[in-house]
Amino acid sequence: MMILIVEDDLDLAETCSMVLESCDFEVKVAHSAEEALLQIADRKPDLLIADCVLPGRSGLELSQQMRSHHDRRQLPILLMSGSLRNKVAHGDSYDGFINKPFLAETLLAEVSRLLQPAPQSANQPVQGTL
Amino acid sequence: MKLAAFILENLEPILNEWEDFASSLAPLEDATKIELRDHAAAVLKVIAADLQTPQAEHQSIAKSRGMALAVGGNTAAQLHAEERVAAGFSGEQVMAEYRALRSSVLRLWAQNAEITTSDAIQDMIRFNEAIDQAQTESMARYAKMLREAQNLFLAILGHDVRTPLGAVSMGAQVLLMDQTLPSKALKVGLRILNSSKRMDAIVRDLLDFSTTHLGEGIPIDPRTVDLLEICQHTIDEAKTFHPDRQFELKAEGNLEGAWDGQRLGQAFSNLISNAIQHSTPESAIRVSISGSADQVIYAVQNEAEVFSATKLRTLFDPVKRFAIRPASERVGARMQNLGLGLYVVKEIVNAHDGEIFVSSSKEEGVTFTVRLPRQTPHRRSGD
Repeated sequence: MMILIVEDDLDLAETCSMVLESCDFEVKVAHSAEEALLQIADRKPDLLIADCVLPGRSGLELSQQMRSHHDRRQLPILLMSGSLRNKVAHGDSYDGFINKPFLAETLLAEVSRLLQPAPQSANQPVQGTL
Repeated sequence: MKLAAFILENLEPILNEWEDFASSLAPLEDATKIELRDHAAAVLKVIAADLQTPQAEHQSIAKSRGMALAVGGNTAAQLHAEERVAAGFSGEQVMAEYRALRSSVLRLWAQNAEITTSDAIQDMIRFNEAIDQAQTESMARYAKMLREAQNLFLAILGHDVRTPLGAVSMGAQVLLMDQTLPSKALKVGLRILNSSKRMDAIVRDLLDFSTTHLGEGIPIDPRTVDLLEICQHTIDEAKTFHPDRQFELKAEGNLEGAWDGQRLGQAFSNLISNAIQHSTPESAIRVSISGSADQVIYAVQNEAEVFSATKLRTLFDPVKRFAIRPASERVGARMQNLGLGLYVVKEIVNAHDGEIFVSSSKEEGVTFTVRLPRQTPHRRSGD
């Protein structure tokens, strides 16, 4: 399974990658929405994890673009943000939401839920943070 | 000559004198000077028009207290304050400008008219009331703009810190996942993780403090939760950080219901931290929670000195609490923390349409009691 992380903070992107790789996921990192779009077209990830606030186009705009794209509509999206307000305000454009900073187990639980083959209920936010 | 007519006929000399004074307060660019002069002229025209309008006694009193009714949009005085913020004026300088405007008008008028008749004295009283009103409008807008900017600054700071904090805690967890590391490295990893958790709690309170002051309220997401579980979890967490402290928990009744579990966990945790901080190390922290048909009551009690009336009044307002502290207690170890926790508790309780009370006595110590109604509305604060 391949996961694309879109996060402009290099340290957070790298530590999240290490956590996911330790569970045998293949992880790619993009540092902007524009870079992510190229990687999505090229590598067809199974899950997109995106920060809400990114330089240029935001993670929210990226997820909304995925939702309106015919071929990418089914791509599960997990949003990360330092503000719970983003969860409240944009609930229909993602499948999961984690509030920064989060525990490794919270990240892994959400990734595992979103990659399950069974039909998923949209918008099931996770309660646990640090 | 009536004062209103005098102002309108002598706008230029009044504004010239006022502008000379304003320029002495801060150097201004020509474009800014023109804009500010326009605002001052608008303020004077509003005042002149006001002087020509009959006024009841209650309107006069309201105006002198800066409480006259606002009529749609922004007033000239409010716009003037915005320009003054942009021009870098301090609040005192804006006040000084109004003093100068008052003085310019009255001095020039006195040179041109006999202020001895009842009408003239009445004009002067009304002019002073109108200046008071304009000054209040300007200062209220000035203070609001600065307050909002400060809170926005804190909100952005709090938000921005969370990403690197996430990297720190995630890095510590990556270390802890590798059991081949020496025990010393794992111990350091655990310390980093625990410290980042404490830092997260501080940043979260700061973020909540600043965003609620921007008028957005705390967003809540009510779901079915078990408050006993949340209550127990916060006590367990407190025990981890304070293994030497004694905690007692008494629970009864139905404690399941629709609340924002994460937010209430934050509120319970803040109350327990407050109790730990303000009680003697050997005393117990007593937590009780009881559920009835229509509400849940949660209380934290600890031994502490009796609160003064001033402390009780400012307990949930960290800024006022800080302001009334003696200067010697504002720095270093005596400061302990910013005291945002109780404010955030109150906001979380309010977002659930609940209430919080505090009692303090020599016999019972201090007790914070939270009442949470079961019927949480299906709205999110800030909507």
